[in-house]
Amino acid sequence: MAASNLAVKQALKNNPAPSSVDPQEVHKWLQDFTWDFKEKAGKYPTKYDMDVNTREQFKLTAKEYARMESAKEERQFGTLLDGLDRLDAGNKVHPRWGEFMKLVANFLETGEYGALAGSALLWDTAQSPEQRNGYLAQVIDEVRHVNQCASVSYYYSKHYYDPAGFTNMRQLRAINPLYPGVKRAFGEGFLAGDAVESSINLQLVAEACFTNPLIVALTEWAAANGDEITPTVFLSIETDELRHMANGYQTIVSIMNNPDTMKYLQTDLDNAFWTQHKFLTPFVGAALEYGSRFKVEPWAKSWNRWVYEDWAGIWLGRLQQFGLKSPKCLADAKKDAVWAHHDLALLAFALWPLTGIRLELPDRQDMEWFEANYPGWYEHYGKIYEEWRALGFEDPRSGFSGAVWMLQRGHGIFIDHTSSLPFCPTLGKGALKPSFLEKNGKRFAFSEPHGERMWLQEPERYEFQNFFEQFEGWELSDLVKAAGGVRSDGKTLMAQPHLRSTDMWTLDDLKRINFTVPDPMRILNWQPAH
Amino acid sequence: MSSNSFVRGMVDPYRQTIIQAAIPEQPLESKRDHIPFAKRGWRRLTEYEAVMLHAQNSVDSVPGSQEVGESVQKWPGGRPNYSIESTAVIAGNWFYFRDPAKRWFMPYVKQKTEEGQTAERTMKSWAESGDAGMMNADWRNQILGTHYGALVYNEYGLFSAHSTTVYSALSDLLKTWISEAGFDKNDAGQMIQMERILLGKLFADFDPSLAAAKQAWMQDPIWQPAREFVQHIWMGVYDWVEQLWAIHGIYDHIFGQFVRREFFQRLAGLHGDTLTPFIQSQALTYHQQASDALQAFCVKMLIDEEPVYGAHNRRYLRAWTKRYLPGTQAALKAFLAIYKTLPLQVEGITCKASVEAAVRRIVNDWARRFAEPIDYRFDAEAFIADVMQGY
Repeated sequence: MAASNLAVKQALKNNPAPSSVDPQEVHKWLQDFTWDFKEKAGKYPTKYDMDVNTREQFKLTAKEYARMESAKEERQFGTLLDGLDRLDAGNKVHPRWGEFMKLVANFLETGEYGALAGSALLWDTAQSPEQRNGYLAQVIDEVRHVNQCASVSYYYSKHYYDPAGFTNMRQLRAINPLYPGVKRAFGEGFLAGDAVESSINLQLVAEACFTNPLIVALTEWAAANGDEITPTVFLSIETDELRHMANGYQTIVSIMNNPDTMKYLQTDLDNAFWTQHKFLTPFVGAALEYGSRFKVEPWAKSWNRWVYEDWAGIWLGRLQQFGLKSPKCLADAKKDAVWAHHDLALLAFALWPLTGIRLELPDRQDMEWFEANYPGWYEHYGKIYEEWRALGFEDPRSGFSGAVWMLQRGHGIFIDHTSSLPFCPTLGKGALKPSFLEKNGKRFAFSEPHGERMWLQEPERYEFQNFFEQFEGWELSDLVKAAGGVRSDGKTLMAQPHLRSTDMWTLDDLKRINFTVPDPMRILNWQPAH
Repeated sequence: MSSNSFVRGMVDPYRQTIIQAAIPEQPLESKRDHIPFAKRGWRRLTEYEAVMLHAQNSVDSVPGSQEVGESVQKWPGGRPNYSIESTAVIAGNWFYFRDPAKRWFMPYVKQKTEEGQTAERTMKSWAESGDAGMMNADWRNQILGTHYGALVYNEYGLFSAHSTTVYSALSDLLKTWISEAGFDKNDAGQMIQMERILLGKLFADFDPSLAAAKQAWMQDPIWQPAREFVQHIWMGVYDWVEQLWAIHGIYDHIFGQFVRREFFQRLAGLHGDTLTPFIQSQALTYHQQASDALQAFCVKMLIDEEPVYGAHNRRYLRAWTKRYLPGTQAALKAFLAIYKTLPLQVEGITCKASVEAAVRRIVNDWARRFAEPIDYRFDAEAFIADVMQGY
C-alpha cells in the first residue's frame, strides 16, 4: 500500500468524524431558508408565475463565490498591472482600435450597470431561495463587471497615448447621439419593466445571444489590433456570463408551471430580441470593422454564427419544449447584420464632433476589404466617404461637416423613437421601413415596423425628449464645450476626424461649420415614398 | 477563433511596425486625471471611486447626475427607473455618498475569501483538536439546534429586504454598498447553517435540519415580534432609505447586535462552545461595515453635509426612528425570554443585572451612533426598563 494511502487511513482512524463542510452541503439547505406569510410577494410582481421550487444550476454559497471570483480578480489585475505594464501595452494598440474602446468600454459599463439593477429586480420578484441566491450572485457579478469595464477605461487613461475621452466618457456621453440607444437597450431594457421581461432582455437575449459576439469576438479583434488589455478583462467578464445565461434559462423554467401566462412569453421574447439587436448589431459591427486596422472576419459572418446559428438555432432550440419559437423579426435582423453597422458608421462620421473619439474615414485598403465582403458597399458608402474627404472632412480649415452635407442634400437624420438611435431614411441600407406618426400634436419617427409596433402598443413607455429635441438650438462648438469635450489646452477637441497629431480641430474650427442643432422633425417635411 | 492564421498585433513585428507608425511621438493629452469632473471623497481619487462613481446612466432629475435628459424606456404606465420619488428624503447630490470601507468588488471578495479560508481552517481545527468535545450538550441541541437556526431566518429575511433597496438606490456607489450589505446578510445565514451542518457531522444527536428552527421562528414567542418586524421591513416598506435606516440603523443595530454579540457570542463560551463566537464575529464585522456606511449615508450625506435639505431629511429620519423603534423594542423584549431556557445560569453573566447591562451596552451604542446625530429624543432608561420585562 502506498505511503499516502496509509496516511489517509491513519488520519481517518484518528479523526473518524468529518471535520469540514463542503459549500454544496450548505447550498442544499437554501430552499428551506424561506417561509410563507400573508404579504409575501414581489414588490415588483410579474405577470408570470415564478415557481417557488425552481432550482439554480450553479450552486454557489457566498463564501465559495468569493473564493472563485477573488482568484479571477487576482489573475486579471496581475496581468494588467504587472505583465501588461511591463510590456507597455497601452502604447502597442492601434489608434483606430484604442479610440473605439473609449466608447465600447463605457457603453458596456452602462450595460453592466443596468444588469445590476435588473438582477436586483429578479432577486425581489423570484420566490425560490435558490433562484434568489443565483440572482444575488449576478447582482454582485454586475458590480464586478462595471468595475472591470471602468478598469479598462482607467487603465487606458493612465497608459494610452491619448487619454482624453477615456478619462471623462461618463460625462461626455451625455451629448453622444448614439448613447441614448445604449440607455434604451441596456440602461432601461434590462430593468424598466416586468422582471421576467427584464430577464429575457438581459439574460436570454443580451447575455445568451450577444455576449459571445460582443465580448468574445471583440477580444479577437482587439488582440489583432494590438490590444491585450481588453481581452484580459473582457474574457474574465465572460467567465461569469455562463452563470447569467443559466439564470435566464432557469427564469424560463420557473414560469412554465402556469400555461395561462405563457401566452406573453413569445411576444416578450420577440420584443427583447429586437430591442437588443437594434443597438448591439449595428454598434458592435461598426466598432469591429471601422475601429480596426487589421480585420478578422466580416461582422455579418460572426453574427450569423453566434446569433443566427448558435443562439436562434441551438439555444432557443432548447426552449422549444416550452413552446418558444425563433423571433419573427429574425429575418429583418439578419439583413441588418449585413448593412446596419455601415449605416450607423456613416452617421457616426457625420456627427463625429459629438462622439468624443478620434475617427478615421476608411482608406483604400479598408474600402477594398469592405467591397470584397459586402458587395455594393463602395457604390453606396465608399463614394460618399471619398467625396467627404475631397471636400475637407479631415481639414480643420475646411468648415466641412458630414451632417451638414447630408441635410443640404435632403438626407435627414432622425431619431428612431423606440430604439433612440439615429437613422437616415434615404441613405440607410439596413432593414429600414421608415414611418412618421403623430400623437398629441407631436411627430415621432420610426425606422422600421417592429419598433413602431412596440410604441403603438405602449406609447407611455417611450415618452422622452430625443437628442435633437434636447439640444435643438445649440451651436455645435458650444455643445461640445459644455459637455467637457475639449482638451486641457482649452481649445483642441477631444474628438477628431482623423488620427494625426497635426491639424487637430479646435473649437474655432468647429464654429466655422456654423452648425446649430436642428430638430429634423420640424424642418424636414420628409415622408416615406409610397 | 474564427481564423487559423490569427495574428496578435502586439507581438507581431509587421503589425507593430504599422501600429507604431500610427502612434504620435508624444501623448496627445497630458492630463490623465480620471473622471476629473467628479467631486473626490478623499484628497485624491481612489480606485474605489474610479471604477464606479458616475457609472450610473441616470436622469437629470437625479441631482448630481452627469446626464442630460431622461430615461428612454419606462415601466408600463410610464414610470421611470431611478426615480427620486422612490424615497421621501432629498439630496442635493445623490453621488456624494462614499463607503468608508471603500469596498469595490476586488477588495470586497478578497476580504470574504480570507474570511472563508479562515473559517474553513478554524472549523477543521475546532473539530479535530478536541474543542468540539467541550460543548455543553443542551446548549448544542436546544440553543444551537433551535434558536441559532431561527437566526438563519432573521438573516435571510433581511437579505431579501435588500433587493428593492439595491434596485431603487439612486447612485452607483450607494448601489455597490447596498449590494454588498445584502450579500453579507445572505452569507451570515449560510455560515450559521454551515456551522450547524458541522455539528450534525460531529454529534449523532444533533439534527442540522431547519425544521425545529423554522418552527421556532414561526411559532415560538421568543421570535414572533422579530419575525413580524422582518416581514414588514421585507414586504411592507417601499421607501428604500426608510428600509435601510430601519434595518441597519435601528433593528439590526439593537436586536441583531444583541442576539449575535451579547447572546450567542458571549454565552457560547460559557457553554464550552468556541466555534459560534468565531462564526458570529464575521457577522459582527459585516454589521459594523454596514453601520459605518449607513452613518456616512444618512447622517453625513443626508444631514451634516447636505446644504439644503438636511433639516427635511432629519425630520424623516426621526419619524422613521419613531416608527421602527417600538417594533425593535418588542423584538428584543420577547427575545430575552430565551435566558430562561439556558442550560447554565451563571451569576454575573446570565443574571438580570448582567443582561440589563448587556441591553444597556447595546442601547447606549445605538443612541450614540444613530439617535444623537439626528437629535432624536430617546428615553433610554424607559426603553431598557420595558425590554427587561421580557427577561
